[in-house]
Amino acid sequence: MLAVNMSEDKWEIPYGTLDLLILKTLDTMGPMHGYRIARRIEQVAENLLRLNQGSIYPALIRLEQQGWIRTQWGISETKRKVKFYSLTRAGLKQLSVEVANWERATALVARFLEAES
Amino acid sequence: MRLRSMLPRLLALLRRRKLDRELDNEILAHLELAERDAMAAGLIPEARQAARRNFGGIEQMKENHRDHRSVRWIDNLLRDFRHGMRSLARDSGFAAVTLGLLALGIGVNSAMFSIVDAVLLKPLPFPEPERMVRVSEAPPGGRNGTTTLTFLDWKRQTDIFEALSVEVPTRAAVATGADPARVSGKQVPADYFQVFGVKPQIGRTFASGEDQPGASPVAVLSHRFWRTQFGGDPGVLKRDLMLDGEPHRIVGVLPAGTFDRDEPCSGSR
Repeated sequence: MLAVNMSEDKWEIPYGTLDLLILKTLDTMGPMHGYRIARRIEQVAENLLRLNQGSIYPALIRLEQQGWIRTQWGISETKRKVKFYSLTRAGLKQLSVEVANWERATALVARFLEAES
Repeated sequence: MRLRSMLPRLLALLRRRKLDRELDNEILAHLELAERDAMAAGLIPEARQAARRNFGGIEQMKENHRDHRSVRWIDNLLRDFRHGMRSLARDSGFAAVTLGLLALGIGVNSAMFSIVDAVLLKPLPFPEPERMVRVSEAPPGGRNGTTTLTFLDWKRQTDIFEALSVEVPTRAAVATGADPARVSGKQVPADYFQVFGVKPQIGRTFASGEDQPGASPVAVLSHRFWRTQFGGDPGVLKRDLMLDGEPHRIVGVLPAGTFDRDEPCSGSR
């Protein structure tokens, strides 16, 4: 699941976890526009992560269509009209589901690794 | 795919242009912010390139965005359709030929269907319609000029038909109520109804001899004519039908459906 990028020695984002990262980010930080979300994910990862910032936009539209996030128009720091994304009630519920799934998956893998040694 | 997630995707198809524009603006704002941050971090000359690099492939992302927000095959279908319409509009001669061929094809098809509908789907309202043929010396729809003598020759010489009869379409003025009207009917010989195997609902059909010269004029009414002109009067047999001012004794009424298509009445002389 984790792919290492040899040239830059950074981790690709684990497959299927971008949704979780976005939902968690919005939950922690409140409404944000796309660039802030991408930067926030990178900052939390402390530059260990190799994220194509553009890749969050397809994820955002999908989350919006699922009803997990909603958009509002706002003004960016560069005085441009941009979309601000925020978590919905359904999104909050989905976040807890995804967190639980992730914890279960990592616990399962950890169990195998322990059994190995 | 569930309806809940399908619906916004279908709606996205309709708002394609708006969503594309919104995404373009979002990308623009994103790059601007990234450039600003890069400059603040001291990357003065290469701030723009850094912003672009961190963003990743733009066109690839847009395709991905469309994939995620809508239904790919419908999207492609609509795009192909628009492309087709544009090509047709550009080459109007080709478009005209195409439309002409289509119209011809559809026309031929509906003509075929009319025939199939009449012959197969709505068979004649008589017993054993498949054993019934119309003999004519003219092409269908043309005016048949078979003479009485020719018909009599056919009748005498042929043995392939169980019964052979003849009809002469006619129109006559009738005055049953206040309003005189012209109605269409047929002059037929006495054995006419044997061909169709139709039994009358009231009274009788023609008796042999009633088509001979000197016999008193009689008429058999179609069911519809009886209903519309005589109000379904069960005592209609006591009444006369005035055809062009000449009284015809009504001897019978046909059952519903048999001769109701276009002939209101049948007269015999």
